[in-house]
Amino acid sequence: MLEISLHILDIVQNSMTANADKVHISVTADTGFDTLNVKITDNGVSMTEDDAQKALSPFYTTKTGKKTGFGLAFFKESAERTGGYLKLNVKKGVSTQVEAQFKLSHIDRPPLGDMAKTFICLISLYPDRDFSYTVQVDNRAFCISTEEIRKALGSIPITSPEVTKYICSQITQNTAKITGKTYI
Amino acid sequence: MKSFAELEALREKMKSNIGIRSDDSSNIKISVGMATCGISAGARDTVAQLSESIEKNGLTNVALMQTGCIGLCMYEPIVTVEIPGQEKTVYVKVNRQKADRIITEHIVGGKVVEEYTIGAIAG
Repeated sequence: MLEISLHILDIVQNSMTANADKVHISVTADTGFDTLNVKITDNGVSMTEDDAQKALSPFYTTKTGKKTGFGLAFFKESAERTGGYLKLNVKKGVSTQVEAQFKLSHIDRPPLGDMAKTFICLISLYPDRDFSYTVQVDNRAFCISTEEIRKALGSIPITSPEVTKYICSQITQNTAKITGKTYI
Repeated sequence: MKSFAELEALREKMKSNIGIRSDDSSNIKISVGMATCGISAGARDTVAQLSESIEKNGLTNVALMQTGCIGLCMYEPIVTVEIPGQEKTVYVKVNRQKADRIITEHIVGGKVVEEYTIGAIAG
């Protein structure tokens, strides 16, 4: 994948398959520690610790008719290439979290990419589920959540083009504002 | 987010023109392959273009959805169009430009874009 935001889209698809109706995505860059952390947390059907270990193998899947599951393995590979890691934090029956850490300044780290596109893509495909996204660079942060947007919108559908355009510009502009000269 | 003032203004503005989304059997289904293979081949842009073109053409009877990997990863992004009462059409390697033509020519115009179908490209 060319962008971390595409990995994120891919991992959230797993959450959707696990029937999650709430997904939180957080991206945190720390210039002091030189890290970029990505966490995707959902409330879908969770795994046991044992399954969580197996899930990182590209040849483990719970899908029928297929023998591969590359999504998590690719993301892990991408993180490890920069000296980082990927792990699954599972709380059986409560939540599943995919946590990846990249070395921020590493030459092989893919750019975060277009998170606005990833967010809008998720909203258009799953208008009934809730997504939230936090992006933080050192002590500056921006947060957006479909739950809050829905409240403000009342009966207007969140997929209306005016609304998606608004969400897109909020993410793009605020990300630019908080990142400043830091390249994420 | 600092304020919802903008959203509330939007709500006021849009109150008058909410279309009624029909959810009956006349609905057209468009699904995009969104597994790892689809996403790395560019399905995110395909979804964005399809939804832009659906809005641009004022279509309210189209459901845009996702599907998994069907084992034809080399032909992703794959878009399947299902119109009730008609045979299913499978389009392959659908980029933004193809996505727009599929909406304007097939969904609006009623004519399958033969050159983009799996039969034409893989056959």
